[in-house]
Amino acid sequence: MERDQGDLRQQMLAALPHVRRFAISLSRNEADGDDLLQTTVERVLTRATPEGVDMKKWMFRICKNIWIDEIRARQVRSRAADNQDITIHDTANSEDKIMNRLKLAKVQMAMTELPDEQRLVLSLVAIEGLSYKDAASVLGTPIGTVMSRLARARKNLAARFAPDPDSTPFSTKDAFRA
Amino acid sequence: MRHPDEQLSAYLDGELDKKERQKLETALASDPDLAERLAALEHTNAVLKATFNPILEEPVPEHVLALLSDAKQPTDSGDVVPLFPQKVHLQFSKWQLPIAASIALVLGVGIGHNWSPGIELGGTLMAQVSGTIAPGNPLFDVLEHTPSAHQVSLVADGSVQARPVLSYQTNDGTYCREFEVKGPKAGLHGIACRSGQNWDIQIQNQTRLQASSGMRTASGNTDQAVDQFISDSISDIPFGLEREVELMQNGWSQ
Repeated sequence: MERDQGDLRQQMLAALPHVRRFAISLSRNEADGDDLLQTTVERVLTRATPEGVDMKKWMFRICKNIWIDEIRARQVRSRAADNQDITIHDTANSEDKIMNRLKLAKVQMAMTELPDEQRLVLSLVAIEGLSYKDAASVLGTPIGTVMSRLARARKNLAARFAPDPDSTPFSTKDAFRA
Repeated sequence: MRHPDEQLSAYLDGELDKKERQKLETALASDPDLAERLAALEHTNAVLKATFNPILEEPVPEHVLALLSDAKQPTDSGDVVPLFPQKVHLQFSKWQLPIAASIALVLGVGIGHNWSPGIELGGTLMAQVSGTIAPGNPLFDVLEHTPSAHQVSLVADGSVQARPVLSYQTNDGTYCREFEVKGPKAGLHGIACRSGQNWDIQIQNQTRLQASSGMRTASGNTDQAVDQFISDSISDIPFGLEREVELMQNGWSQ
């Protein structure tokens, strides 16, 4: 029994960087993402884990549920004032890291504009690399829904990356114009 | 035939069955607008990866790790047990340095047609897509003058196509471009960086294509090393067209 618990913890540790990235991709900034990660780990530890479950996908699902049910409801993720999301917290100690966070903040800003269900599926498939089948399992939706939400998410994101009014929503020519 | 966004998006994710994939690839080869739509989606993918992949390399906050530390196995000092796994290092077995690729080509010709997908890319072209890409090399013009997401022919009969995927600046100020080259039976995917008056190939992957399966997309697992190379070296986010055009006009030097 002790060993089983140890195995589960090891599986959680192995999944942690991915769950953290998923949490951050859903959040407005890295600090909120880490809060979401912490809540996810706490909940996984206090709930029974189904036997034989893929820990990473299980944690994605728990994380998704928390994000939808609690974080959004409490608007914790928007606790940062609107225009100061690019906040460099505690551990930012190198220029590279600061640059990474600035870059992250720009894309996060675009992602927060997406409808929540589109952001979820985009994070799971385009960032985390889940198959449509696995994403459908995590989200509890049919595969066809995953496919259509993903297409809309990508199209919307491409449009948000193209601020030029003359450009078509699908043009990446203006993507990330400074 | 109409190709909905869902189909293009599923193609990027490798979720189309063989028949659908072949149909779409046939359409892509003759429909520049369709190819442009696909490229736009692919670019979005590339930006997301370049943005979020570095997070995997960051340490998980200690207070989260502490939740998972086994209280029964403290270190001598009583600190949190360092259970966090080491970074995953990619296997580069199917990746070759440019020089090695050139040598492989020479060997491959002698050994036979099954040895290297590069041979089937178009004879001497393979040799040209390695090492330093100097003026006069067909790929040089593509890297120098073609905006990202635009496909151009490298040979007169159109059998070999090249397409820059994205452009960016590294932490030390060097300009780099991710590119793809597709021949009848094989493809290349790599990164070239401007060096003096030339473009130097930094990393490349050769992929033998199944019959009519088309080029592997940037979302494929075999492209992890390219993604990681970009994540490790990019200083900001990939350039938009406006910046690319500026750089093209200035010969990628400023």
